[in-house]
Amino acid sequence: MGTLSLPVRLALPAEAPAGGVVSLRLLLQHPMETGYRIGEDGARIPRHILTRLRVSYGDRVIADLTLRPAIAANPYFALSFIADETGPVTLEVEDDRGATLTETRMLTVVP
Amino acid sequence: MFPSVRVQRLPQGGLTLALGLCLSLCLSCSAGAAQSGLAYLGEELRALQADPFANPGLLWVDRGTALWQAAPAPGVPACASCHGAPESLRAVIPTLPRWNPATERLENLEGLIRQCQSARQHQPPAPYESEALLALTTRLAHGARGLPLSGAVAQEAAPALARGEAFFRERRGQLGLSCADCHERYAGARLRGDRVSEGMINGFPIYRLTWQTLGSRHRMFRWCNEAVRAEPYPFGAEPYLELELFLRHRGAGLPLETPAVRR
Ligand code: HEC
Ligand code: HEC
Repeated sequence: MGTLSLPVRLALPAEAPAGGVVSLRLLLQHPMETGYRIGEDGARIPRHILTRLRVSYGDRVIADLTLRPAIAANPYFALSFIADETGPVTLEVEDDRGATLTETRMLTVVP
Repeated sequence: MFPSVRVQRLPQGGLTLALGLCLSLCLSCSAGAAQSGLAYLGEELRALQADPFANPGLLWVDRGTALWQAAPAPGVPACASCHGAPESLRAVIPTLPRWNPATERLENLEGLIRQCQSARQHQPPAPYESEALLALTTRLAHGARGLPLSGAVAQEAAPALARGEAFFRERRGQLGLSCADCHERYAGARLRGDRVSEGMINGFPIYRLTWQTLGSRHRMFRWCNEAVRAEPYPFGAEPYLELELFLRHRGAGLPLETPAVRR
């Protein structure tokens, strides 16, 4: 298992009021090559896509996406959830060549 | 590449771009003053470019920052070791390409970066259009955003400027269209969902949806050459440096927008 060597941008506040809406934004650099395109040499360009995106908060999985070739390159994801406990927010990404990315940020709930 | 363009030669020798779909001229664009490609974008792409998080070109800015700070090999100074912050070079960016009196040649930002890599870091220079060169170029130009493109051209570069302008106005390719045909005469016209802009270079490197990635000025020139079925020149070739010089001069005053988002 490798790691994704291309950059990722992750935006998540470090603190949120209890019961407040938190937004998580994510921009990933990835070719999202569909596997259907023909290259300049006339050969099919092999598929290379992100396959999975999982976000967990504390011990709950709050998003678990299976990704398909129809997504544009360098995809952007945004999701929001309610801050109800102080805990880690973990992002896990996988692509179809075994590259993975795991990133954890603490979210502190303030009164 | 550019399937929707059909060209008709009129009996009197004039050219018409039959666009297949509507050809609506840009009434909102004021004539005369140069306009950035930004002015020709829809609401959504303008918002994407302005988004300090989601503009996809910022991925290359981040990567450029990391490369700027990293030693390319053990014991080799990083760009940052000699130059400090990337912003320390911001004043130079709007003056590129420029004439180098020592070599008696034009040099652009990519060329200067590659030169530092080989002469001062003793590394093989990053290939044109490689992720590394795009990232460094984007990072440096991003540090200069907001500064106006300079119109100043050294005396010695006057012939190069004139050749750049001639290239811009020369008809080429199987379609027999010049850069000026599309980017002056038909600026504002619609080509499918695309509005043809004035062909300005103040946003480069740009994140282009058509490419699904970021690209340099010379990649754009190559794409536009291929659009009229003309043979493109290699990256960094003299005619493209001259064209780049002419386009900087032509767009003088436009603020740098790197990384711009374009269709
Ligand atoms: C057949 C029409 C056509 C011709 C000829 C053409 N271009 Fe373009 N050019 C386009 C289209 C379409 C785009 C993408 C939309 C836009 O930004 O205008 C574009 C984009 C550009 C851009 C990017 C503008 C921006 O804001 O980022 C530059 C620079 C450019 N062209 C330069 C040139 C040069 C230099 C030539 C001559 C070598 C040329 N073009 C010839 C159609 C053309
Ligand atoms: C060993 C020191 C050193 C290193 C390392 C170095 N440079 Fe330079 N660089 C210089 C010097 C000296 C000049 C020419 C003097 C000047 O104009 O600042 C220069 C000039 C430049 C210029 C043109 C600036 C101008 O004002 O004309 C750019 C752009 C540049 N370097 C980019 C880079 C990048 C990108 C890197 C890393 C890949 C890098 N340099 C690494 C020393 C260095």
